[in-house]
Amino acid sequence: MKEWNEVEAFKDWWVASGCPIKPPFEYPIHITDMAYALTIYRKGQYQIELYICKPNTETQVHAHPGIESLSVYLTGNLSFAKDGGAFPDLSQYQKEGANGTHLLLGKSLESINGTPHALKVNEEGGSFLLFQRWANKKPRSVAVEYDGVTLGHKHDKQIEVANVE
Amino acid sequence: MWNNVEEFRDWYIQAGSPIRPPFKNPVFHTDNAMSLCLFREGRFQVELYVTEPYSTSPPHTHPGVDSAFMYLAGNIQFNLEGRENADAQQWQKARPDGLHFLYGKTVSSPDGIPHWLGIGPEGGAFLSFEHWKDKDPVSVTVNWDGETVGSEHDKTIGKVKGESNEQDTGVV
Repeated sequence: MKEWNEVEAFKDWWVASGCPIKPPFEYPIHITDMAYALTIYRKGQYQIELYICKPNTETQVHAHPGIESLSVYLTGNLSFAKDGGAFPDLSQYQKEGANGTHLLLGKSLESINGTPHALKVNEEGGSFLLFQRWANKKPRSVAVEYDGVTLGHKHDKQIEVANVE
Repeated sequence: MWNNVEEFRDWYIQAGSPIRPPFKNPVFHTDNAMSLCLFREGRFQVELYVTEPYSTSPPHTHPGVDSAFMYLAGNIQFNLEGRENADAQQWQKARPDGLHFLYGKTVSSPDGIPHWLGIGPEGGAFLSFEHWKDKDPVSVTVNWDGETVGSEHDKTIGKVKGESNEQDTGVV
């Protein structure tokens, strides 16, 4: 099985391969009170989740232990804060780019190695890809490998279901 | 450009399913589903839908839109009026390559023919290919004729209608 030595190399391979959308049969969908996630590709310890986020939502600072990840902007209006810091002001980039897409489409937002971070989504909602490398466990979803205050009862239920399975 | 939604669907798949969400109106939500427009060009677009476990949608249509549904993952019963809607549970298994047995299967859903969904415990994910014949594409979530999914869905429809009315009257 082809593997990669880091999440950045995995991302480059996936892009060079034409960005295949091939969700796995096993555990492809995860729901929280803030976002719906679909795993669009999974191989070995690596996977990509596509997150669609509701407008005007925000996580508290949290971490995904044992997961190295890289987020890539798709559209909408969202930002990540790292290590308890402030959310960066991306308002200058909140405009249309080529072919009617978002100016930030395809831009890497944050590289996170299990460290604390937070996500804020503004009134447009938003969407991003999260490339992941799971160090010790079989990949499932960062939504259920979550160290921090959860997002509500849907999130709690999702974690509970994952723990039972 | 394409002549119909099936041509667009086939082109999109052959082109490697490009992920190119628009800046304008890309994300919508109801009480039990969220959508992201993956690609939009002219009157054609493809939306990715992700739905909650055990959710349903009542019979409805999307006026002026020809659509085609493509199975991605989860556990989805797609029903179309006038068609024999086989029980999809018989195909609730993995292919040898680890994808869902129904991955890539498509059903055309012509304008005016009611359809409805039932989702199993795994949730569901599908692509909705759309040809908006007489207006610019937004989302079939808000171009909805029939009983809605719930109060969140009503709010989303109301918000888009409000924005549309503001544009019509020149009030911004």
